[in-house]
Amino acid sequence: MAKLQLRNVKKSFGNVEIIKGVSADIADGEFVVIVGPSGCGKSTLLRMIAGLEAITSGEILIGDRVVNNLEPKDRDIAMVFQNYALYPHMSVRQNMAYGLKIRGLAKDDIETRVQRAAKILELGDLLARKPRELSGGQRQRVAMGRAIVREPSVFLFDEPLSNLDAKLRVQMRFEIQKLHHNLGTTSVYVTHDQVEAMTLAERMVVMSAGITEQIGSPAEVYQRPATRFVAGFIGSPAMNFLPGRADATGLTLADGGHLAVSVPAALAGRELVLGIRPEHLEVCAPQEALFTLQTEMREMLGADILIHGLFGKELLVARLSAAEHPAPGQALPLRALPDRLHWFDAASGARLEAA
Amino acid sequence: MEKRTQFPVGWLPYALVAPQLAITIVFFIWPAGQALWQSLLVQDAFGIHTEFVWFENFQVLFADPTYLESFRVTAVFATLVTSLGLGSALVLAAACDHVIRGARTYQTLIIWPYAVAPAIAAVLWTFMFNPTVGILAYGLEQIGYHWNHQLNGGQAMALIVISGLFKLIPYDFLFFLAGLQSIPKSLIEAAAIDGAGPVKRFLTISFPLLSPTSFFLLVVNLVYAFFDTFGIIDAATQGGPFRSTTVLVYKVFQDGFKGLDLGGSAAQSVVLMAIVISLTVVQFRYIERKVQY
Ligand SMILES: Nc1ncnc2c1ncn2[C@@H]1O[C@H](COP(=O)(O)OP(=O)(O)OP(=O)(O)O)[C@@H](O)[C@H]1O
Ligand SMILES: [Mg+2]
Repeated sequence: MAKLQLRNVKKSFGNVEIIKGVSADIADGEFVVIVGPSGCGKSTLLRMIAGLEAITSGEILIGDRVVNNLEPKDRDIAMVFQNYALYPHMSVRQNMAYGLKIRGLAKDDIETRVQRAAKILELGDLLARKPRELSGGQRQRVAMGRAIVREPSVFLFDEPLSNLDAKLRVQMRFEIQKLHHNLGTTSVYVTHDQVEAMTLAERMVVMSAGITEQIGSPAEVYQRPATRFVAGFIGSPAMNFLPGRADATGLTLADGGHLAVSVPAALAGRELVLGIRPEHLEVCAPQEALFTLQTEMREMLGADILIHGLFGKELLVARLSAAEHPAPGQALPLRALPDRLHWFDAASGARLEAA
Repeated sequence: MEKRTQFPVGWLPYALVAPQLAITIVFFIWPAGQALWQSLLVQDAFGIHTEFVWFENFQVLFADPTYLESFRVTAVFATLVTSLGLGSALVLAAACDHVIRGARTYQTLIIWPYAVAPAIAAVLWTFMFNPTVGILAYGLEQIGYHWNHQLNGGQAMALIVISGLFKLIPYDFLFFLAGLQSIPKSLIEAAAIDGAGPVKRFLTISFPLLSPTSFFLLVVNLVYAFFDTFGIIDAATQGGPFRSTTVLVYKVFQDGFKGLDLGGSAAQSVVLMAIVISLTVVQFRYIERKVQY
C-alpha cells in the first residue's frame, strides 16, 4: 500500500495539450474518484499513472518513488479496464494467475491467492470457464479478481461499470465499496457518472478539459462547488444559473428581470452568476418569493416532481415534493434559503464567498 | 433453426449461379474428369493407340523410385518454404506492430515483393546467384563459399526456396499484421501491467490469439508450395540438377509434356488432386470450428 502524488502533471499529444497541469495528493488507503465529462482527459491521466502513457512534464510518485520512467510492471499497480481486457484464450483461473506466474510465485502460493480472490468475488464455480462463457457482471468480477490477486499498492479503475446494466451497476458499486473496505488499498477510480463518483468516493477530483476544477469530499463538492463548472456538473438535475448584475436591491438579469435577493455587500456592482439547486427551491407565499416560475412542464419522479418553467427568458427547474402539482401555465412563487445560494464570478466562473 | 429469410424459389437463383457453375465445370470438373480418365489409359507416344489399363499407371507410379524421390523433394521444399515463410512473416509482422515511427513505409516495403510475379522473382534470384556473373554468388565466393546451383542439388533447393519465399512472406505478413492489429490494445496493456515484457506478451497473448490466422496460412502456404511453384522451378532450375528440385507438379509437367507419358502424368495429377482436396477438407473442418477462443 502506498500514497500517490501527482505534481503538476501535463500531457500533450502532438502540440495539443490534453492534461494541463494536474496536482493531487492521494493518501495511503484512500479511494479517490476522478470525475469529469467525456473527453476531459480522465483516462489519459489514469493511463499516465499506470505507465501506459508517457508523461510530458511533471512528476508522479507512488509511495516515495518517482515513477515517471518506470515500466507499468515496475510500478506495483493493477488496473481494471473498461472493456475488462480479459485474456480470451485463458480460463478464469489462468487469467487471474497470469500476473503471478510471470512474477515467479510458487504454484501453491498462486493457487491460494486465486482461491482467496475467487472467494471474495464469488467466482469459485467459474474458475474453469473461458471469458466468453461469462456474463458481463461475471467478467467484471474476474477483471477485479485479476487485480486483487496481485496485491498491488494502488488499484486503478477506468470506468469499470460502464458496460453493465443499471441494476448490476448498483450492485457492483456496492461490491467495490465492500472490497475497498476489506482490502484498504489506495484506489483511483475514473468515471463520468456523477452518481458513481458521489457514492464511491472518499474524495473526488472533478476535471474538465485537462484541469482539476475541485478536489474534495463528495459533500464538499456538492455543498460548496468551487467553480460554476463543478456546480453544473455535480447534482442532478443540474443547478439553475441566473447571470446578472448585482445592486443594492438584488440581481438584475440581462433580460431586465429582477430578483429580490440580498446580495452580499462584498459582491455589489459586479457581474455575477447566481446558482440555485433545483432541490433547494420551495413553494412559498408570493410576497416571500425570490421569483415566480411560469410552469411549462412537469416530470413525475415518484416521491418528487420536477417542474420546468420560465422566469423571464431563463429556463429553470425546481424539484418539489410530489404533493405540489401546478398546472402548466400556472405561476409558482419560489424561494430558497439564503445559505443555499451560490455565487460565481461571471467571467472566471470561480466561486465567490458571501462573507 | 433457420434464420435466413426465405424467398419463393424461381429461375433467378439458378440464373445467378449459372456463370459460376459454368466456369467451374469448364475449367475444373471437366479437366479433372479428363485427368481421371486419362490416368486409367496407356497411350503410345504418337497418340495412335490407346488402351484401357485400370490402375496400372498408379502401380507403375508408386513403384517408380524417381516418383518417390519427387515426393521427398516436395516434402523438403514444402516444409522449408512453409516454415521459413510463416516464421519470418510472423517476426516481421510482430516487429512492424511494435514500431510506431515509419511503420507505414516499412509495411509498404515488405508488401512490394508481392507485386512481382513468382517466375520473374525466380529469374531475378537465379541471375543474382548465377555462378559466373551473379552478385550474390560473387559475394559468397568472397567469404569463401563456393556457390553453383547448377551442380549442387542442395544449393538449387535453397534457390527455389528463396524464390518461393519472395512472394510468400509478404502475403503471410499481411495476414499476420492484420491479425495482430485486430487484437485489442487493452489486452496487451493488461499483460504489460501484469508484468510481461514484449517477448513474453507476444508468446503468451498475441501468438495464441493468432492461432486461427496461423492455421489458415499454414494450409494456404502448403497448397502454394505444392501447386503454385511450377513457374519458379521452371524459371530457376527446371527441376535439376539430377532431379534435386523436381517437385510433384514439375514432374507432372515433365513426364506429360516432355516425356509424353500422358497416362502416368494424369495419374500423378490425380494424386496431387487428392492431396489438395484433403488439405481443403482439413482447412474447412478445423479453421471453421477450432477457433481458439
Ligand atoms: N493517443 C492519442 N492521441 C491524440 N489524442 C488523444 C489520444 N488519446 C486521447 N486523446 C485525446 O485526449 C482527450 C482526452 O481523452 P481521454 O480518453 O483521456 O478522455 P476521457 O476523459 O477518458 O473520456 P471518456 O469519458 O470518454 O472516456 C480526448 O480529447 C482525446 O481525443
Ligand atoms: Mg476514458
